[in-house]
Amino acid sequence: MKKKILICDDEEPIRLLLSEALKDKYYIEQATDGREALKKITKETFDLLITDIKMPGTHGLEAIERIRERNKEVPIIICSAYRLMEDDIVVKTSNVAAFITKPIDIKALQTKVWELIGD
Amino acid sequence: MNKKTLLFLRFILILVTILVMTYSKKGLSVFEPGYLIAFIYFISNIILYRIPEKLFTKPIVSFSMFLFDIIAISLAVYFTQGMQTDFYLIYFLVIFVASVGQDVTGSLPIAIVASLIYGWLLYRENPSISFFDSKILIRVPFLFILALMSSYWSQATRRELKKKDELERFNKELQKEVTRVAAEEIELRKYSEKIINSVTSGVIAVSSDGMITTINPEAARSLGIKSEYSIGKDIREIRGLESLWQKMEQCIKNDTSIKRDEIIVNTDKKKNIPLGFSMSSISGAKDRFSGCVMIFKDLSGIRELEHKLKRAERLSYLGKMASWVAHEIRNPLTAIDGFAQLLENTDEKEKIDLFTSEIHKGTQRINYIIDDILAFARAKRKIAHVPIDLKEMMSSITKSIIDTKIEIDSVRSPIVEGDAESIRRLFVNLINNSVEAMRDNGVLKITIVDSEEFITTEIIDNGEGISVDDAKNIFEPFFTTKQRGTGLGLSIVKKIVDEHKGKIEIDSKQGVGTKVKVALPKKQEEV
Repeated sequence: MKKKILICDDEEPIRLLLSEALKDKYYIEQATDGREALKKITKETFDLLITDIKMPGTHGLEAIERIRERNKEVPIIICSAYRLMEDDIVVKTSNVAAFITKPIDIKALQTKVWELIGD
Repeated sequence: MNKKTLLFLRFILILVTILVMTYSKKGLSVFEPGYLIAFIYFISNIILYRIPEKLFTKPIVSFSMFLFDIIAISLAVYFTQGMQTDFYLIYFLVIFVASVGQDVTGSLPIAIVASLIYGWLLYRENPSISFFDSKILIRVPFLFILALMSSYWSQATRRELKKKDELERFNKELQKEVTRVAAEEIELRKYSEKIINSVTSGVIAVSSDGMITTINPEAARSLGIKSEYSIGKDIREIRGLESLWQKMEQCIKNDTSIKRDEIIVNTDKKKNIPLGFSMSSISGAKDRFSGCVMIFKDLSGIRELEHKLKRAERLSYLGKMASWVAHEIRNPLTAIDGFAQLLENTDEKEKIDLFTSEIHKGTQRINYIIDDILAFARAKRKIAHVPIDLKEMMSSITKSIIDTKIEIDSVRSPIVEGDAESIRRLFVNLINNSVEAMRDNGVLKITIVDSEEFITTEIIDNGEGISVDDAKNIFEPFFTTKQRGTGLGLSIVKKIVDEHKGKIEIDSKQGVGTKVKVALPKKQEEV
């Protein structure tokens, strides 16, 4: 059975890009903001969450905080245009698995995902 | 007549009496009653010296005194048997002195008493004397004539003296008043000078021919000139103040005022002084008092602060812009770069088409962002004056909208002047906002009306509306409530409206819809 990845980004082209890059090996779900991601993660189990940080509506970091509050140990990759986020207190305490900075190196992303959750 | 003069005259009277007594038939000797009388008479004058002036001038006192004189003289003459001498002449003197001391009501009774006693004395000496004797018939009327004439004379003199006294007193009072008023005027002048000098704004007043009549220390300080050398000088002679005079001259000529204006002044000591001023003509009855007064404030400090603030604002914008560009550009760039990478590893026709189309969309998006940045950051410029038919423009913009119902209601040929490209961008942004805010069953109403110098366009949607908090920031750059907004759309709209000297109002209710009212002038001013 394919592993499940949730991609959360407000930009539709980015969601499409990530899902095109990963959909051969994984089962992909999409969310447009933190609130939707939280809702989906609460309802079903995912093997990985790839999320942007700065989004209108519920912020990515807020979503991560809530996910951890609900004892969800899902690995998280932050995929953002901002590197500064690595210093954020929430990021530090939430055990974020990896940071990917936009623009994305697709190969590196695929490798990182494979390292984290395998095939 | 004062006390001293009267008593002096009385003293002469006593001396004359004693003299007459000495040369009388019997003469004056120490052990005679006449001597005692003379002595008492003399002493009475010394006592009278002692009584206060106020009491002395009372009619009853002076009348009693003269009555005493008549009796004393008569007794003296009686005892010295002076009837044969010229003693009766002394009565004339008494009556004269009495007239000097009081008016006719005082002197006439004295004359009556004197006539009676004189008559009685004559009778005593010669009981057979006839009433028609010359001693009575001539001398007695003389006593009365003298009393009348001398009291008339003394009354006239007294009146004159009183008048003179009053005049002198009046003069003195007048002099005092003049001095007091002059002193008060000086005080008042000092007080108003103090007020003007304490004002923290500059004050300059000039006469209608340009002479400086007042200049306070703050004015001198602001302009870098010396106030003490400036008063009385022609304002045109002070370098840099010619421009002020031009404004003042206009004010004086038209007898008007300038409520608020600004001017840049260059004096010898200070350059580029921005002055905020108000001035007003002073209209006086004479040219001397007409002119102009100007109150001003040196705005250098305020200008510097404004400059700093603008710089800080610009820097803050720059910071916001940098962060915004990073995020906005990186997203489409990530997509382009990512799809290009995916393109390298696929030969499926379908995927190749999808990826290239996404790359194309990404570049379009970047282009759109660049357009927005340019429109927002573009410096204020002179706008073109092209006639634009707003009705046609609205139809053209809304032509491509499919999902929303469009209703346009317009007056015939609503023409405004402006830059066609900017005006189109303005309405594209507004209409896009409205369309994006509406979901299903969206109806966009556009009404164009003629309102005097303006054409007013209302764009009304029944979309989500904006919250009160968001409405405050709606024209702020980089502020957006949309998922895919650049946050510059309405800033650009505001900028274009301002450039065209138009007006914009947004009225929105959350859950009901939004009404945007844009008024654009029919004619642009020629610059």
